Amino acid sequence: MSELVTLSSSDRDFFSYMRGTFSSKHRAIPQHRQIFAEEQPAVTFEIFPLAEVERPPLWRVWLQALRWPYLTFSLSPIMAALAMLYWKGWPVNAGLMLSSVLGVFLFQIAAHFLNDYYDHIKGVDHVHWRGSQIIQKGWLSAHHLWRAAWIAIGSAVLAGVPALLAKPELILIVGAIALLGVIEFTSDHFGLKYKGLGEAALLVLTGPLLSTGLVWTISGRFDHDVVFLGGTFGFLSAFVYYLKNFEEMIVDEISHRNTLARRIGFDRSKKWMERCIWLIPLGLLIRGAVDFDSWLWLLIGLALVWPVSELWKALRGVSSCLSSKIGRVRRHGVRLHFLCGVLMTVVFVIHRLLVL
Amino acid sequence: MEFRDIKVYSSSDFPSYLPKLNSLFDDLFSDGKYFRSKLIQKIGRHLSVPTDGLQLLSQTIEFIHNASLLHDDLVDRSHLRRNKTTAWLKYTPEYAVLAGDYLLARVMVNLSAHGNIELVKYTSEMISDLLEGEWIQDSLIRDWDIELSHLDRVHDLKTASLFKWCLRAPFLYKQNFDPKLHYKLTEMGRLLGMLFQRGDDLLDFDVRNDEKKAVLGDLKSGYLNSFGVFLSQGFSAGKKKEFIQCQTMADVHRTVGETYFFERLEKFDRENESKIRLYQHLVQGLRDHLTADQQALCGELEGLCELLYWRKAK
Repeated sequence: MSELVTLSSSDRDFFSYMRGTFSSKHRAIPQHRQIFAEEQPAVTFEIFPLAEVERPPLWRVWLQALRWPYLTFSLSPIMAALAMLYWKGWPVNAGLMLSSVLGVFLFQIAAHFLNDYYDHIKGVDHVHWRGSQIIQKGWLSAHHLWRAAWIAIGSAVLAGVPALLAKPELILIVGAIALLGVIEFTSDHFGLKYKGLGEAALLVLTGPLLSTGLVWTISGRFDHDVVFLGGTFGFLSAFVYYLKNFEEMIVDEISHRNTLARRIGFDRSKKWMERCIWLIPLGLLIRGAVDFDSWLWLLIGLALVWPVSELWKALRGVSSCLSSKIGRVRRHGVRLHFLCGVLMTVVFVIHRLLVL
Repeated sequence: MEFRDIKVYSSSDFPSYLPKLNSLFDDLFSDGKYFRSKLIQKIGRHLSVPTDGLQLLSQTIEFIHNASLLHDDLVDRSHLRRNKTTAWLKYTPEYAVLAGDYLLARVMVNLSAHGNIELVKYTSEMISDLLEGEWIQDSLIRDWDIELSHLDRVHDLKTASLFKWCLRAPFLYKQNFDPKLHYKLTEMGRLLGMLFQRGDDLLDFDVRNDEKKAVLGDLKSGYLNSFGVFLSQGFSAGKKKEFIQCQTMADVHRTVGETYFFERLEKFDRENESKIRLYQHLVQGLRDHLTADQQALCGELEGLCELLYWRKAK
């Protein structure tokens, strides 16, 4: 049987309840928040014995906490960049490759955990549908996610040591930007995403910075193809992220989060997205048409026309921020991002094998 | 408990030279449970709100509520309201819209004459929320994959905003602007509104339908209400298609299975019981903000949520 407890932030135990460290045998789930600009918040917690929390197997819980579909933001550009390296026949340092890929992956995982943690502490995830909902369901405590995030960051930094030794100047720059991006993107202290700059940050972090940084680290080279590849994925990531903020416009309105989607508004955002999504295949087609040696881009662009048109049609059907179709459009966008990665990988690898 | 004889509507409140306006309002205000104005009076009595204040607040909430009904019936193209022909059908759609607007305008006139700017500000925010909820709800017609959390947001704007006002307005009238008190009242109002709406949505599926309301009206109008969403969670596309085409409760039981229907109902009730407990916990917390002679208010408010959800005292 659960009990209800209301605590204000001036209470000594408040943060231990918020973080879940108040007891090893109970979970405290916030039921509502009082949030004032000038006052300290108070929270009513429902306290459950841990044994009563219905939880799926732990591996599924952590998979959900990872927000695994969004791992495409780093996985797909990495996959495509490695395939491009193989296609170009550039030398690859296998050890550096493994450690760099691991580092990038771990940074993204850390960002997801920290995002959930800070949204919970701020009370934003309480509005039902934000984040992984792992903490809100009592499956894990906020402290678990906090600890896992810093383990991931620490592991990412360790994984980056070989690359740091091989290319100290690059890694220091790229690593610092990535770490800053993770913190600024997830934390409310600096709040890049809440100043309407989240999309720009994501475009850079998961786009040209990721592709050129990775390729330069493991092969010592990069060219305009690598930058273009990164730009394509960065744009797609920013687009999917914008879709997410578009979906959460009402929540952001309540919590006064000034995302780009909220500033632009529903109607203009929808119009903007319907047009911009076509930039993906169009950009690839133009790239392929302009540079005869890069006809593979033409092929990838053509292959993306149909999935982009499906996403465009789905977007056209969205009538409000609360429409069920909008979640579907967002998932469509995530699949498109992954499909882009798979397509590029397959095209580059097969072409290289045919040439060989 | 006895309520003072507060009359929320009188034909002398409106100009007699506007054709059909007073007969439209006579029809509108002749029936109805006046639940919200009774709630205002219940709270106001404990806060020593004078009679003219109770009159003002009661009239305000009933005018706003009935204005929303006039507009709602036109938007939904409903033919009946309280077992009578709806205003837009009996008179004209134009008169129904204008009559609703007139009620809202009259609310602003009355409140601004009273002079409590916080009350005026809050009331205009509430009306804005109400209209926002209507707007969003209209965009969700025939959205059969809507999630419960999204519906809760609509109900928070539409239904709960009126209950929040009923709880907060008497305190604002008495110039009590304590932000912690008002946030607690807002949360209580949110829960009251949610549970009232969910109880109403169950009536649509003939659950505890002592009022003998027409069943499946929401489904037939293209709207999946909260229990409909809850019941159809996890349905395949085919099963959902069958479900939304149901015309009678026998169809519903045949499509989803009677055992499954009542299992889901039990789970729905359990989830809402936890919200009732949260409300009651908040009511107890209200004591910290009340003077000694106001404490009895908590006793009056405690059973309200249960009453609104279960539709009778348990």
